[in-house]
Amino acid sequence: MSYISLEQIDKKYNINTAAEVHALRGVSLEINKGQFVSIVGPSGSGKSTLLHIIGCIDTATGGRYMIQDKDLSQINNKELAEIRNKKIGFVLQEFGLILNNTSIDNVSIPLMFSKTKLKDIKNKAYDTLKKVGIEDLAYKKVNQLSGGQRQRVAIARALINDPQIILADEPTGSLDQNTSMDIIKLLMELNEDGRTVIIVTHNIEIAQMCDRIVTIKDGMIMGE
Amino acid sequence: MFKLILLIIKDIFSKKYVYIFLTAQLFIAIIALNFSIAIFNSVFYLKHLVNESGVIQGTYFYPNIKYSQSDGAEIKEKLSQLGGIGEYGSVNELYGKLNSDNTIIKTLVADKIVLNKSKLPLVKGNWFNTSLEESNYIPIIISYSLRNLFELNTKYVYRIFPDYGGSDSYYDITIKVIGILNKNNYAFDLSGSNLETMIKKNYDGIIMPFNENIMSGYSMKYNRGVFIFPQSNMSIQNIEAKINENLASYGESVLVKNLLKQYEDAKMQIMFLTASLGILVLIISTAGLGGNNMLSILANEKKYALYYMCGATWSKCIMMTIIKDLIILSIPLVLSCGFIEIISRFIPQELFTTNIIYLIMSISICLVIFLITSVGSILSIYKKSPVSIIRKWV
Ligand SMILES: Nc1ncnc2c1ncn2[C@@H]1O[C@H](COP(=O)(O)OP(=O)(O)OP(=O)(O)O)[C@@H](O)[C@H]1O
Ligand SMILES: [Mg+2]
Repeated sequence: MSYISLEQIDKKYNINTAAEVHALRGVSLEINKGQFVSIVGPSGSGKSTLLHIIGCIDTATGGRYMIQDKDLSQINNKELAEIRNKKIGFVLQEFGLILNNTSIDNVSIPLMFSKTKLKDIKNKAYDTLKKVGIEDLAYKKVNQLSGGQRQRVAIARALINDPQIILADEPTGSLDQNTSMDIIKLLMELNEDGRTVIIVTHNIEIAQMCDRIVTIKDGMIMGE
Repeated sequence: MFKLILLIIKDIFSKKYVYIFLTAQLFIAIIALNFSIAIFNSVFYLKHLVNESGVIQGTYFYPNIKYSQSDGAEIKEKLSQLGGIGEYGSVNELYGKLNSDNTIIKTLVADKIVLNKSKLPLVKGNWFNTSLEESNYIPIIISYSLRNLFELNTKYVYRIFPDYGGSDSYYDITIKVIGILNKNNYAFDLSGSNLETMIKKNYDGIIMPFNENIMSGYSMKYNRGVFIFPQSNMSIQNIEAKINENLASYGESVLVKNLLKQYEDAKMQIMFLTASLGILVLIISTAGLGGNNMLSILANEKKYALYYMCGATWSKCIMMTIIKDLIILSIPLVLSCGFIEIISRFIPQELFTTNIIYLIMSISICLVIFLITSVGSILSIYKKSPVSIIRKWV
């Protein structure tokens, strides 16, 4: 049994309305622990939808989704929240940071919802920023940072609870070539530490650096 | 839980200007509401007081200059010959002062008949009692404004000037404070010659009964006016007409009902102006309050979607919004209670009256507006799925 297993995953938006969209049609995918997978495909093909379902921030309307033999279609909101908190680190497209807050405050957010003691939060957040190489920006507000620096803050936040799965939706989407490569290298380092990393990308060069490329079109997997 | 509250407080601080603005709005809305309620209430309350009192059934006789300086024996004689009249009692206005203090105090002297019919609400003590016939002191009621000058149930030597401004003659009498009027009150102001302004809001002075035993020897010209009441089978309109017909050379008579009407007419315009100003401020502040509250909550949906992504359940995010709302709410509540308490001490009560009921009403209305807009916007966030917020945003 694989680490992450999707069986016939279906996702419809606006069910039973005129605007119904069938975003994913019977997607089946097996991902092993420690793999570095890229998901590619044309715009609107369902890449983000798939990543959101894997990241437990969205739920499928059909099929079965399991992590480590645990069926996530069967568990309640609280357990799902815990999985988002501990097992999964999500890096959103366009970073998804609170611009008005400092890097360290942004990075600390997952610790606020975990069992971490209040006095340990700062140290842990600082250590994580160090891991992604921007500890000297800890007390700068995010809106004063560059795109690459912001992406590192977003990755640090995804990392802070030491999750086994890192998901990133177009992590290099708005970055220049050099910065993109730095970010991919950072993700590869995390992968070398044993984490499973799944990214969505439009960049073929980056996709080719991964262990696996999954191509998706019209909500269906077209091949690898 | 403690961590979450910390996060909420940090949130509030990170956008402190928005919340300071919101707090200020809530604060202004409470003050504006209190103001409007007070204005409306004071007009209606005064009307209510006069209407409830016995004097409303009477007519007021206002003697002309010649007779207002007399002891009124002649007028009384005339009145008793008229027929149909039940009771009547004189009123006058004098000035006096305490020996220990230089404040000149307005003093309303009235026959017991009038006082018995115009019982006013007190904050402390008791209204004049019919059986209260003392021979060595005169019981008095003081206005709320004089509460720091006198003490309840205490006797004082009081110097009255029956002809203040005219001659220096005075008499010392012993008085005893038996009651303190409510802050919001009325009395008849007899100092002017204008009947329209006779009813006065927030009386500032002393009310005392005319005491034959003590005062008759002082050639007291207390006959500034006479309240006349009909026998139970007579209509007051008839009496009034009769008086105006037969006592025309002594003065004129006006129904108390009409005095009240004149008061209302005189006051309504200014009341209306102040009240509309209050209501305008109120509408602006409450609408702004509701709108801003809604905006500030909706502006946070991104943040909550992020919290969701980082491991909070959606209901926890919503709970945080509610707690945050309550924190924002509690600051102006405490502030405005304190502020209103302080300004009510320094601003004359004609301009700003408050009491716990106005305050509770004002706060409740603001709470309702705040909560309705909060619940509305929180529900609208709750109904969205966090992932749709994330999608819209990135
Ligand atoms: N909340 C929604 N309601 C309705 N339709 C939606 C919603 N979210 C996504 N869709 C639709 O689902 C389909 C898949 O969307 P998705 O965002 O997963 O595509 P994508 O492959 O990530 O595209 P892109 O490369 O442009 O990011 C699209 O047709 C999109 O319009
Ligand atoms: Mg996408």
